[in-house]
Amino acid sequence: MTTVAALRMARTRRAAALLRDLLPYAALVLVVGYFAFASEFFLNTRNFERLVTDSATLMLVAFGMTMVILLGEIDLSVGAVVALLSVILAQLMAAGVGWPLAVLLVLLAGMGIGGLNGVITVLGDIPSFITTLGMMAIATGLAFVVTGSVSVAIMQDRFLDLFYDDRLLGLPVPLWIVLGAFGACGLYLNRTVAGHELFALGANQKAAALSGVPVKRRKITVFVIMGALVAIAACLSAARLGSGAPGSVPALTLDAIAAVIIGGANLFGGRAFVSRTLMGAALIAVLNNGMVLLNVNIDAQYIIKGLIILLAVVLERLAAGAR
Amino acid sequence: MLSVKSRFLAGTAAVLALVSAMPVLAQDACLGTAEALHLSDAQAEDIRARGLTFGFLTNNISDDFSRTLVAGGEAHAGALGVDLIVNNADFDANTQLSQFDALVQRGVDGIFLTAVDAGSIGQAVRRANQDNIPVFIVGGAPARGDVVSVMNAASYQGSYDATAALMDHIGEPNAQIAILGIPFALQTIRDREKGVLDAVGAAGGQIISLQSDFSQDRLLELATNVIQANPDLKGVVATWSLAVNAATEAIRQSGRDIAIAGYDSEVPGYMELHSGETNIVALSGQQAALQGRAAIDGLAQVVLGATLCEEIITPNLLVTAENYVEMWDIQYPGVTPPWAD
Repeated sequence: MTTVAALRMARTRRAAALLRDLLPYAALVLVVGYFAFASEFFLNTRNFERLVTDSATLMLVAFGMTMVILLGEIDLSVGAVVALLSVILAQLMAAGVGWPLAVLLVLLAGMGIGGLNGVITVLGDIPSFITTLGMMAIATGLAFVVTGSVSVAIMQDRFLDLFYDDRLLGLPVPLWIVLGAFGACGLYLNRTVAGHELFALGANQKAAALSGVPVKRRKITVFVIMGALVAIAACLSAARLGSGAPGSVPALTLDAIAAVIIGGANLFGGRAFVSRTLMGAALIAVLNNGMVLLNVNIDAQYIIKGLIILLAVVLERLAAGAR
Repeated sequence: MLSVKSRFLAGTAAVLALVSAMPVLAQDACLGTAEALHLSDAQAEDIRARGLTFGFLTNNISDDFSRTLVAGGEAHAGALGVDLIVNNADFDANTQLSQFDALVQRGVDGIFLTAVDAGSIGQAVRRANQDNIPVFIVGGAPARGDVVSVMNAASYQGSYDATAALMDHIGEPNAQIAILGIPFALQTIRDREKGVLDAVGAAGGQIISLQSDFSQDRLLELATNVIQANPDLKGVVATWSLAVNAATEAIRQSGRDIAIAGYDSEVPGYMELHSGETNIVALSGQQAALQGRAAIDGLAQVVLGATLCEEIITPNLLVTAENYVEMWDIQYPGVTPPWAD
């Protein structure tokens, strides 16, 4: 390759990297601008609050998925586990358990399931794709078996109000939960030694191990964190639906992965950002909301989301050489 | 002058007459059938003048019932000058909730929906109630919130009748029957399965397998396995359209003489009956086009101030090889039958 050609290639890669980094922000601004122009119902406080509360589940799961993908792993079980944990939560409350204890038990269950995914993946040296695929099937089946395929209504109003309708300092509680999780994940990844080690581990596992990074412990910890976020997401989902529904969130897993990819993450690990994932998740949420307000056919919605994901992946691959 | 006894008898008769008339009076106060929902010419003119917008949410659009329901609703809304916003949740309760909330946000004049999960739509229905948006639902009432009415096909009776026809056809005591269904958390699905169980029980048959899935591909696999595992199987009752298709194909592939009854009569089922070489004994057909029309009429009636009864049942059609031509015209009004091509 000539020097000129190499320079041209480098410029292309730098441009692709810039586009990839800007994609979630630019796309979000464009989409919000378009919907604000096209629908009189889009840009108002009430719709914004509904959008935030409706997308809180996706955002929490996407934060966890960011860390999993940062390691070069994947978790396909999140949607099914959210459904399972939401029916467990509803059944605990239906059995007379107070909501604080029920939430705590579900949180522990979520961390347990996440930990199990991590232990099987790491200690069994099994690809997380396979482990979590199995967990997805188990969680889906369990959710239907324990409920008899019938959703379980939640009648504890305090829980429903707190996790969906209540406000703190004028903002919906789910927004505070999302902001809290965002801050915690950001701090963990960017301000702790363990977080920095995740980037090293995702980029080159062997090199990280040789540098003294406790690879197995870090990986299992990330799956446990994922499980905790999934459990909180299950509480928000149950409050939103007013029930534990066994088949409630089939699209959640793919939407969470899409949010991370739109955020410029590398599916093979070493590169992922919670802040950009937040933008990616917000973009998906705004698309979901705005396209319904504009009465766009759901099949077209899939196509539009798919095109944005493809664009993000292409930019990521083009930019790969820029690093 | 009337004696004490006569006055007592007359008074008693009057009270009895009043008491016996009460259910009739109550019934008259609400609209309880698809026919009763029909708008008069004057009412239709009134609705046209109002420029209404209704939301129409379906749990999916991949089966014939949903497509016909939507087509029926769209055609009638168009005739009444109602702007209809149609959204398909694609079997995702969360998506449907978002779609529902967006319609509330738009301030539509009414929402009709076939819920993905009636138990999970209640929170959204409450929000519609707060904005005085009438909600008309198919399948079952939500756990929370108030709906103007629940519209249902005659799920229990329809599946009972089709299964009874199957058992008559088999004509054997202790006949082994398998059920192929759908894992949907809806009352209508449970009613269908109960109809099957009762009809099989009444005929002295026995259920030896109950399998369900959302996809025809997986249902075909399940049906094939059930047939393979049960050499004495005499009949299959498929409780939804894709299960009917899967059961038909699995039995054809097996080469065995196993009778089929189904809930939902759709184009493949009609074509099977038209072929004259089918194991299908009877299909219970929901009147989806009628329901789509009734959805628009029902919401329009509420806008005009009428009260709908708590439940509105639309009767099913029992479709057999003898009457399928006639039933097609009732089930798909104005649509050319596929065998005419």
